[in-house]
Parts: sequence; C-alpha cells; structure tokens
Amino acid sequence: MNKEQFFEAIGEIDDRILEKFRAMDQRLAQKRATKRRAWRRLAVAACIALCLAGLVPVGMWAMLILPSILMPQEYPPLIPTLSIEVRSMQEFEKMREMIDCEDEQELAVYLQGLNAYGVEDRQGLIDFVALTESMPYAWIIDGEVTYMSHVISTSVSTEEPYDLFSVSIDAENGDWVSHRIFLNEDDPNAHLKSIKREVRKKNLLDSPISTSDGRLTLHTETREPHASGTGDMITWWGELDGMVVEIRYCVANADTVDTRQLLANLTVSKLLPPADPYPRFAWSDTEFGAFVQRPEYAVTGVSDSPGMSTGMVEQVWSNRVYQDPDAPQTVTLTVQGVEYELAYKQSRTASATWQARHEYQGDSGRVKAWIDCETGECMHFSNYNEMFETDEKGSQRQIAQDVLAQVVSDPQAYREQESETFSDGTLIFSYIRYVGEYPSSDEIEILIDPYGNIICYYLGYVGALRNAQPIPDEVISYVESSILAYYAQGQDASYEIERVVIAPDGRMALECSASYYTESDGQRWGHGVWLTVFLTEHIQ
Amino acid sequence: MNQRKRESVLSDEQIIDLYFAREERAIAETDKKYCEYLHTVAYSILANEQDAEECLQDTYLKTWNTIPPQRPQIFHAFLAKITRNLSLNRHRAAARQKRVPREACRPLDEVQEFLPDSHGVERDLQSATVARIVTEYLERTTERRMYVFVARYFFSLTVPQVAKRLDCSVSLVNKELAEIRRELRILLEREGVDV
Repeated sequence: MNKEQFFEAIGEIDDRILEKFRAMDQRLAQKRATKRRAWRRLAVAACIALCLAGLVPVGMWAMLILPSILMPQEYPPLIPTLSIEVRSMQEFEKMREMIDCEDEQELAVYLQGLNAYGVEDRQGLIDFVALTESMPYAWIIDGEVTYMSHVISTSVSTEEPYDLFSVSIDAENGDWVSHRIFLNEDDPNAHLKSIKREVRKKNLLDSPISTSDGRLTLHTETREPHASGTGDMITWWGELDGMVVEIRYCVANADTVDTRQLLANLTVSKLLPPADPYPRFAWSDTEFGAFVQRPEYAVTGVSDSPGMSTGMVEQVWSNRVYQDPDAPQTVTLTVQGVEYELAYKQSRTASATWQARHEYQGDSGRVKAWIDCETGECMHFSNYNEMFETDEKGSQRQIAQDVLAQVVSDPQAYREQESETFSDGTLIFSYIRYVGEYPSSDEIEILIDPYGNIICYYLGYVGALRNAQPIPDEVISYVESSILAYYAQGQDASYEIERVVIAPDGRMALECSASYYTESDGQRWGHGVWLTVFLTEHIQ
Repeated sequence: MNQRKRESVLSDEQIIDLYFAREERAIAETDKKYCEYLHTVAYSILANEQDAEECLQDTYLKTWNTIPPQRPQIFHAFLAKITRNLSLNRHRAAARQKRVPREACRPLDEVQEFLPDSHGVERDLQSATVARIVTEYLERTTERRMYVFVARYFFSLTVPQVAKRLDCSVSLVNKELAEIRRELRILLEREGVDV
C-alpha cells in the first residue's frame, strides 16, 4: 500500500469517531464565541471608562478601533475572489470573440456557462484576455496550450493571499510544461528564499542561472520520477521578468535535459501570438537598424530535436497540409455584402499558430478563405482583386522604397513588379513587390497596412541570399540537414528553403516546405509541411 | 460561496425520512444544514471554489441515490465520507491532468511517516484493516489527539487551521502530530503490517 492509498483508507474510519470529532468541534466553537463576547464586553467597558474620565475623543476612537484589535480573529474566508480558466486555444479564441459580442443576451449566456468565479461582465473577460496576452513565457517545448487560468484567492496551506496565473503547454510526444506565475508579489526574494529552504536537500543548482536575455533566472531545480510512474518531473523555481515562477517540466527522460544548455538557448517571448493572423508593428528605425547591422551568427551545437533551439534556431512553426474527405466541397461566403462561391482546395493543421482549417479558393485563386475545421467559422478571407488608387497607396509605395534603401545597396536596381491591394473582409492590405534586375534575381516583398505600417517583408530566395551573405552557410546547412530532413520523412521526400522573412519583432525566419509520400492500406498518401523557422543570434 | 440564512433546521432523522419518502426537499434540507461543513471538507482537499461547489452537488446526488436503502446511523459522518471520497477522486483526476495547484497539497508526505519500512515479505494492506487499526487507536487515545488526527488527516485542514480551532500554537499541534504518527507507526508494526 502506498501513501495515497493509506490516506484514502483513513476515510473509512468508524462514523462514531467522526461523531466524537464533531461534538468536540462544536464545543470548541462555542468556547471561541464565548471568548469573543468577553473581549467585546471588555473593550466596550474600557471605552466607556475613557469617556467617563473625560477623554471623550479617545473613548470614541477606542470604541471604533479596539474591538477589531482585541477580538480574536475568526478564520479568514477560504473562498477565492476571482477564478477564471480556459482549457484550449479554441476556448480562448471564443472568449476573445465574446468580448466584441454586441448581443447582451448571448454574452450573459456565455458568462453563465464559463468556468469562472467572480467574472460577471464583459470587463472580466477583457481583463483576463489582456492579462494572458501580456504574459511572458519561456518556450521550453513546442506544443499546444491546454490550460490557462487566473486565480486570486487565499492559500490553504499558508492562509496568505495570492494572485496566480497558470498555463500549460502539451507537446505531441506527451511531454508538457506548466508555468505558475505569482503576480503582485511584494517580496519575490523572500518567497524564493523560503522555497530554497524547503528544497535545500534536493536542490540541484549551486547558484542561479539565467537565459542570455536575462529575463528568466532559475534559483532551484529538483528532479524526481513523476507520480504516475511514467516519466520524470523537473521543477524549477525562479524569476520571470521579475515575477516569481514555478516551472514544471514533465519529460519522458530527465537525463535528456541539460538545464544549463537549455537556458543558454532559450529566450523568453510572449505566451500567445497576436489575435490578428498578420501581426502588425510600427515601423521604427530600431528594427531596421537591427537588420542593417546584420548580427553575427555562431554555431553552438546541434540538437537531435528539431525545433529545439541550438543557438541558431529559436522556434519552428509548422503547417501540415492534407486532403480532408469530410470537408465540404464548396462554401458560400458573404463579405461586405458581396457573395462568393468558393471551392475546397486543401486543409492545414498548424502548430503554435492557427488551428486546423480548410482552405477554399475562387476566381482563379485570387479569392481565398480559411474555414475553421471544428466550428465551421470563417477565420480569414482575402480578395486579391480589389484595387485602390488613393493617396494612401502612394504613400505606402514611398515607405516601401525607403525600406529598400535601407536593406539593399542599390535600390535603383530594383523595380516595382506588382502592386495590389486585397481585403480580408475587415482590413485592406497593400502589397508591393520589387524584383531585382537579372541576373541577381533578388526579390523583396513588402506588406503594408493602410496606416503605413510594415506588416512583414520577405527578403527573397536563399540562392540569392547566399551571395549576399546575411545568414551563414552553416545556419542554412543546419536547417536543411536537421529540421527539414526531420519533417521530410517517408518516400520520395524533398524539402526546400523558399525565402527569408523578417518578422514584426525583427527576428529573421526561413520559410520552408517539406513533402513526402507514405503508403498505407495499399494507397499512396502525399503529405506536406510548411515551416517557419525563426532564427536567433548568438555571439561567441 | 453564497451565504445562507440560518433558518430552523430539521433533525437528521427528519431529513433521512424525507429521503425515504423520495421528497426532493431532502436535498434542500441537507444543503441548509450541512453545506458549510461539507464545503470545508471539499475545499480543504481541492483548494478550488468551482470544484468544491461541484463536489457538493455530486454529494447530494450520491446521497439521493444511496438513501434508501441505506439508513445512515450518523448522517453528518455519512455525508462527510461521500464528500471526502468525491473530492479525492476529483483531486486524483486533476493530478492525472497535472492541474493540481500547490495549495491543494494533502498531507501525503506526513502520511508516509505512518508507514513502516518494509522488512522481509511484503503483504497487501487492505484499507479496511487500516481503518480498523486507526479507529481502535483513535478510540483509545485522548480526545484532543483524536481531534488533531481527524482534523488533519480526514478533513485535510492545515496545521494553522487546527491550531486556531484548538486555540493553541502551531508548534504544539506539530508536536502532537509527530507523536501521533510515531504511536500509530508502532501500532501498525505490532499488527504485523508490512508495506
């Protein structure tokens, strides 16, 4: 019998014991109530005596203050002030949608069904979404968010109030990582000191270690077999952006995890990608300055796990492409009063970004829509046919030319090839594409929103980039031999690095594709994966 | 949790009679009389308001399905055991999904001290045997020690909470718990129990 079973067996003790307990409990409660009454009488008598002695103001003050000081305190309430949680990104996206819901009745029904306490109106949802979007996260593994919560309550063990944000990420291989971030800690050092005392016999860290960006510092580490009997649990306590954090990593084999190496290659970023599929950022000199300086890359090691950072690769986001026999063959969408009839093309399942979606096209591919596989809702709509001749477009072209002047040595050598404007039903994008003169055939594409903000830009084909040398050959080789080779499994496998993208936060990324075939049930199946491999910089 | 007004409450026999008569008022009367008591049982294990509330609802449903034919002798003990078991099941499910807040720590590490080291042949320990041994110990020991044990290991109250109820210091409660664990361990060894 283990301790869990023993603890449960205690629940089978005779009912007469519980009756004796309850009788004694009631006697103790009566005793406490009597004591409180006695203190109250004493306090009132003291206040009256002060008043009679002519000390009326003092007496009055005492009447107000003393009872609360002298009376023995009853137990603090053990109910939470606030508790709200979601158990998938779909639930979270639904919550985001409901923030904009104008139907109060629908919102009321949604709030009633929500797994929450103390959230009574739209503002509660806004606060939770805003908090979640602002949370930092150390991406130790790549995976799906399976739990996020915010609780303000009182600790059962210490009876101290706490304000806690929790999140769990589950990887496809069964590993998971959870963060518990303590918000509003008055004294993080004191909290961490008490943790160090608690785990001092099992702590594996002699001194704190940090990520290269300094945002995460780990103070303690313990390792033990997971309670389920499968796998290991690594628990770290530390500081994340100045907040106390407990990170638990459930992994198949803890021996494969080297904490120092993990931290050396880890960077902290936001927990969630922005709600909009095209993240936007304001054009600033800093971001382009960072690119123009062309940071030096160094090879720091090779990992067997694609997607795990090795000093070169920060993150890998993948889209798997497949044919779904259950997808409707046509959809009819009404966007801004115009009806579109679109035909099914293919389906995709993304990691770390969008959920599974069906893709539809019409009008020779110039009208596209993405439909959520599960809910049937239209996630995104694009119409490449719409053209606008406005001053805005002119100013956007000027911005694009300015960008070119920053990133290429001879902007005159580039010419505008295409200039289109398309709509996703809610926002108009402009798209300006420049192509270099033959034989360099460099290409630069720039996406600009109607406010003149650069959404992202593409640096062109890797072959040309190799000549321009913004990324070392060993980085390209590593991505090809490790990451792409991993995804291109099966028969007739092939892969390609298609182009370089500058993400909104200034990071470089390689857009890649991998395809392969497998056989099952006597049939040959084609598989495709689109990958965005984010790079980072390390200086040796 | 909503505050409930203290209206006149029925006796346990009257409430049980309502269950036998299949009157749904039985559940409302049970809730009126025992909701705070059962909420403490559930919340001490789960440390989550939502889960504790759901556990209470499950308790009432299970009680409705159990009475009749059962007619509990001591109604509050009957309810407390149902709530405790349901809470532990829910806690176990949460632990499987790895969603247990640190605050929902049951005194498992202390319980380890009850269990003797294994010497020689291992033998299955039935929960009924454990319950019998523990019951006999609690019947023979002082009332205060019985109270401390049940508060800590049945109701999963924290040590500070137990100390407050007894109006004594935390260190004194810890000392008493250590002695209880030592005595019970000797008893288990004497009964020839191996783990």
